[in-house]
Amino acid sequence: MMRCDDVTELLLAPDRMPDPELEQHVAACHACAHIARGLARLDSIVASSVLVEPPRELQRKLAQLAALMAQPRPVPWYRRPINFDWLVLRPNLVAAQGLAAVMVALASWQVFGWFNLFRPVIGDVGYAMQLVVASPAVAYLGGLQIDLQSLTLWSLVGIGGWLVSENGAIGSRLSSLTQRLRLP
Amino acid sequence: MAEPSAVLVRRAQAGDKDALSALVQSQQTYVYSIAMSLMHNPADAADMTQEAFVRLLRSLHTYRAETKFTTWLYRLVTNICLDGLRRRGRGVDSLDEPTGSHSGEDAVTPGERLADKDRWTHPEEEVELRESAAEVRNALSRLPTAQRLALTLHYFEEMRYEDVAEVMDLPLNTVKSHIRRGKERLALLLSNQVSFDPSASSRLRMSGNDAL
Repeated sequence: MMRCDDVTELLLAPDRMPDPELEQHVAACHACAHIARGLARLDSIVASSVLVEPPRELQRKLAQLAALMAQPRPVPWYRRPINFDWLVLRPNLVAAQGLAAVMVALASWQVFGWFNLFRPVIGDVGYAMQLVVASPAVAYLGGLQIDLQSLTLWSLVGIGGWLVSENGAIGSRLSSLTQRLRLP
Repeated sequence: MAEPSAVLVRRAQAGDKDALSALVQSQQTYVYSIAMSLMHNPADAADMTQEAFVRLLRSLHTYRAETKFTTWLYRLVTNICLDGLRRRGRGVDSLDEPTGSHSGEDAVTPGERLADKDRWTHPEEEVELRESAAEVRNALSRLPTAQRLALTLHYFEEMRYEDVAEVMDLPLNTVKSHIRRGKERLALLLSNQVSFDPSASSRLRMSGNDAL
């Protein structure tokens, strides 16, 4: 037989499971029924009172904060979805791809043409040196000096032009001098 | 307790403005309620709520979904409020400190309990429960910090004891004990004005003493 004090204990237990004996006692005992009703009402009152609506001003500030902090974070390259947009045919892209294909074909022809010059050179240093001298790389390096000289010369011409231009160091002084002397 | 969907959290983590707004809106009442429960003061609670959301939005990308989002957030708010109380020089009793009887009213002898028994037989004396939310909050504010926080979290919808324990960083049984004692004390505090007659109160007091 359950005692009233035990019933109070059980009614207050946080993880109370349905207990037929307890229900029977509460149904029969007025005092325990009173406590059970009181605790149930306490639960409902407290549950509806613990939630407090924030003031309007705070809600407004929080909304502003959320909007302010909303900045898309950069996604690392390995997490980015693969994009196949480049496969879509566009006139400019097709032209560029066509040009690239022609250049690759020409380059391949050059390279494979040079490869054809190869013969076994093991032990034949003289022949190897002939091959090196005849290679397009040496021909290119031979022309490099002339290219660099031309580049330097034309750079100097460009720098000189800029110096005497309106915005250049000499040109700007000349124009201010002209204005000061009121020359036509 | 409105646990936001994983999709909403992921979108918010990616910086989606609408998702962030929805997340803040769905949690602001709960966060403010926890802050109110710990700070007792609307201005302080508002400050703590704002600080909590600033920190949430800054550290949202570190959330890894290993725990419930709400548990993670409420723990953040709780820590911010406890720090806030310490900064303001207001005493904070440790959450895991056993909170027993605070006043002499809990000390009731078996004789007194027996003497009160007959009052249970007069249900007509029982008055209707008309506690306003303010009165309940006032009663809650008289509880020790741990009991108050445990009860506040316990009465959030769908908050399991395990979740409360995780938020408070306490063992499950300690949390259950806080909730049980908090409820007893709350019943006693509210019984003077409402439904519990003195005999019921004494039985609750007795029950509380047994539990200590």
